[in-house]
Amino acid sequence: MSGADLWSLAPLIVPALAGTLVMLLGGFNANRRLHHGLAVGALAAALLCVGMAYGTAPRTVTPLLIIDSYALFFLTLIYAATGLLAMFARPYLAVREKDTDAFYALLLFAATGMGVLACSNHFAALFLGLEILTVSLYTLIGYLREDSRSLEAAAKYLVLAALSSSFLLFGIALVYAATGTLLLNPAFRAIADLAPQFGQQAEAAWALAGGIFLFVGFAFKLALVPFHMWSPDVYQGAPAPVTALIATGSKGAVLAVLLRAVGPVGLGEIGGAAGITVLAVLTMFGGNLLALLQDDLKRLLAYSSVAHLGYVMVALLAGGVAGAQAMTFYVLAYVLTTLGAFGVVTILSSESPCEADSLAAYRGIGWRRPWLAATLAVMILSLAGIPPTAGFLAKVAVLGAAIEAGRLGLAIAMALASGVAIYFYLRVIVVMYMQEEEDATEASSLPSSFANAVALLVLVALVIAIGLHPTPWFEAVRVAVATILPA
Amino acid sequence: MSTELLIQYGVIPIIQILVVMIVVLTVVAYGVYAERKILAFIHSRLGPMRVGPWGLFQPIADGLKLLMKEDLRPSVADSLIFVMAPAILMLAAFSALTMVPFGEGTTMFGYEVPYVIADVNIGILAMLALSSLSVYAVVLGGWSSNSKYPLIGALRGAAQMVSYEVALAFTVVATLMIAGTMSTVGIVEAQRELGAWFFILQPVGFVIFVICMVAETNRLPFDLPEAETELVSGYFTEFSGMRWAFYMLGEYAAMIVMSCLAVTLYLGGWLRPFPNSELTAFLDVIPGPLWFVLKGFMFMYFFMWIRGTYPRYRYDQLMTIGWKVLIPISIANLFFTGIIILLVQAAAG
Amino acid sequence: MELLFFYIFAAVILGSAVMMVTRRNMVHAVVWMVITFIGVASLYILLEAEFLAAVQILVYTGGIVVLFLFVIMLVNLGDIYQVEWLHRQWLPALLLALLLVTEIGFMVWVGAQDVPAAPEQSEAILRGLGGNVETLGMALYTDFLLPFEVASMLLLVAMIGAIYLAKKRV
Repeated sequence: MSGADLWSLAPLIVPALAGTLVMLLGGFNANRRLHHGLAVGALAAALLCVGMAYGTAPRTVTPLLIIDSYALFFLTLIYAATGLLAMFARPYLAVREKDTDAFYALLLFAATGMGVLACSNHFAALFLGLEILTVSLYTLIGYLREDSRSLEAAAKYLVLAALSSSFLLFGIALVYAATGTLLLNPAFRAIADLAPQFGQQAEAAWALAGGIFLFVGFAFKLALVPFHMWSPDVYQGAPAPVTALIATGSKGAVLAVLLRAVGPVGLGEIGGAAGITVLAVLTMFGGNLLALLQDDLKRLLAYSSVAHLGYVMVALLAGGVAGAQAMTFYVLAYVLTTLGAFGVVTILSSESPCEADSLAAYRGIGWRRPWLAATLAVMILSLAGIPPTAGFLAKVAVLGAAIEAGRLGLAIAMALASGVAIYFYLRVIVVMYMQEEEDATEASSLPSSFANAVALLVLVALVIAIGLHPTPWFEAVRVAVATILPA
Repeated sequence: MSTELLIQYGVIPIIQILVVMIVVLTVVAYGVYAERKILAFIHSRLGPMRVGPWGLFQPIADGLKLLMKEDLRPSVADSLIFVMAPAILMLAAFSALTMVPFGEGTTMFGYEVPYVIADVNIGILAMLALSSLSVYAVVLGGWSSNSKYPLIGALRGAAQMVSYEVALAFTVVATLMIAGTMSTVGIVEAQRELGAWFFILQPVGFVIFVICMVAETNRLPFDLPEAETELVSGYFTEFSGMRWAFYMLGEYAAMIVMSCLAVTLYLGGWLRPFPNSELTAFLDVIPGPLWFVLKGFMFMYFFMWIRGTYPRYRYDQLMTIGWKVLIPISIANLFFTGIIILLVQAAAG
Repeated sequence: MELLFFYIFAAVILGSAVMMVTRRNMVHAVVWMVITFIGVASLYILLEAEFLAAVQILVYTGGIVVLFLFVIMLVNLGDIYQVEWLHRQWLPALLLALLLVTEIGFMVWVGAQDVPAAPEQSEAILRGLGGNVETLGMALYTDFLLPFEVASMLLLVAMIGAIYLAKKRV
């Protein structure tokens, strides 16, 4: 490994070092502001390093990691999301927990894990990145040690994530046995070559079994129906900033590596298209229909994110360059939007130690907290896919890719599912603007922290800007995808 | 399979195993006697004197007595594990002895006879791994008795042995770095090549190793798991007769294994002092295996000597020594050893 | 000969694994787990991965499982004996397990014609560098240095998490 390699790796090294530093500082100094500042600063520095790494991209550092513009695109998204989360987390934690050093240290380590995932080119890196992320999440989810819901969520996540990791690991072992390589692309290409020979050649059976196990592992992490059971409970129990991390960064990183592995080969080639189509349809309808029944905003958003992952699967199934671009664009829009929505939940929860997650807490909020309510409304509209927001264009891109690939059935299913979804999204807005709160207490109309207000404003601006003027963003996505899938 | 192969790989190892077992079992039996005598002398007493001249037949009499004792088993004990636990200690110790290099080996009747049962390329690691199993004897024995003092002893034993194993492994790694091999025979050969026993090159490591060695075998001053003044006799309070004897003998077998490990790693195995110097060449009248055994006895004597002279540590002191003193020092030792090796290599070009 | 040993070890591993998951007494389950691990270590030796075998025993059997026992003895497990197995979910669980067994069984059936051989390259590396430990060391500290460091971070994360959750509020 050379010095130039280290420069390319700087986006991964910076958060890791900062995490260690926060951890060490935590032993001597209980200054919460310092830990918070270090975490946010480190993520900003990491973003800067991402910018610098564009100069040397694409670069393969050891066989395991590849720093190309695709990876850097996702690194930007992940670090920006994590940085914003860290900002939202400060007032939230201030009313709940005195020790915050471990929170920020783990957040930084989780960011590193996600970064490793986004850059991984090898099953070993994939697994290690995923484990760093999930092991950090175990503790982050249970960070409110006195809240039994938080601990319950952590325990549930621990058991199910460990189970899904074992599936993933078994899949990796089988794929290695069949194909003899641990590099992502060659392994999946070998599966694709072996798949048609199923029944004639022994390796084909092993490769396909491995592929299925791998996909089950991924499906657990992405919470696709029927592997979604953990997600509402964990979303509800986890501290709001951590829920946001699970919903945005962790999903984005896993999708990044999934697309890198599968995209260039195409799901259809691997021979799992039929099964995954069923899964995608189930996920879209399951998520949206179950969301109709929720009275808790965090649970509602959990089911909504399940459904959104279904839409992402549609893009993955569509395949080809168009599919990959649509998927990447969808992930971009989804991450920004979800982050904004959870940002509002976090800020509303920072005013008292009780979590603002039941829908009842949002009654009439449109009149008391107009700015926050407007932000949430924009995010909800974007999630519902209503113009002129990023969510709308992302859905259009996915539908277009699906139709172009000739998967008309899937496109129709997706349109129908989105139609169902509008009902519960609008319900949130109705609650906010059209219902009176019983005991209306006067509260300040601006979020408690100036920085957070700016962060939310930026997110709103981005979501609307992407919706109104998508060209530069499409261009960025095109450049990123071109490195893994040359047109 | 030809007869030669059968003898080389079948008969000779069996003979080797038999010889090692008989010798070690004798040493174990007389180790108890030696300990009683040495402790007695330290205390200005005579020790066992009645059975045979100077009490020499005492171990035999003890063995007979233990064999004929009633086989007691507490009614609330977990019978399967209670029966199994005492055997584990012996099993772990004897399986570790297969890797001990007693000498260079010879040729007899045209067959190669190495003085080691199995010279494998992971020798030291395997010895450590197998002797680490002995912790189960303590933990399971204490738990299966279903009684409070044994349980406390078991918990102490588990924590102590696992903690000290870490420091032990770190010091051993530093030595392995100098030797450049994990094979037990290879380590002794490396000491011949360098012309110095490794305790000269690894003084800090040697001291840590010796401390950890005592703690790993649960001997005074680290015998907290049995601590008779507080826990009756700790994890084997409920054991009697032959099962108790197994624990007793297992402890000596573990001491022998640890002594052998120390001799191999730090005292040049079967080599004479300064193996490259002509000045000490006359010492070669003592054959290699005897050198090994003499050095081993030195460590056995050391075990007994400190038992007679040092008081027992408190439990928190034990943990403090392990985690806050020995482990950091052993890591630093590893670190500096690595740096020095690099520097020496750079100087040599 | 090698095949015979393989079947013996495989039988030991599978048998003790089944015993492990069916024991109600946690300590017995852990003892069976130890036997499983030793069986796995024996398989490693059969595969000429001696280093892995020794580490398997040193780390898992001699270290981690002892800590399992330690925790089991410290935590009061009186209640676990009363907990009903598979709380009202035995039917779906059974169906899913059967499905999984059928699936894997089918794959094995189709794939059993000839089990894929180990990839060639590892053999070449082994011959080039001599021993097991040397090969592993070279691989770990050159090509795989990065994941090695990343793995250390994984352990660090786990430690921070465990310490934070366990420590008292200050």
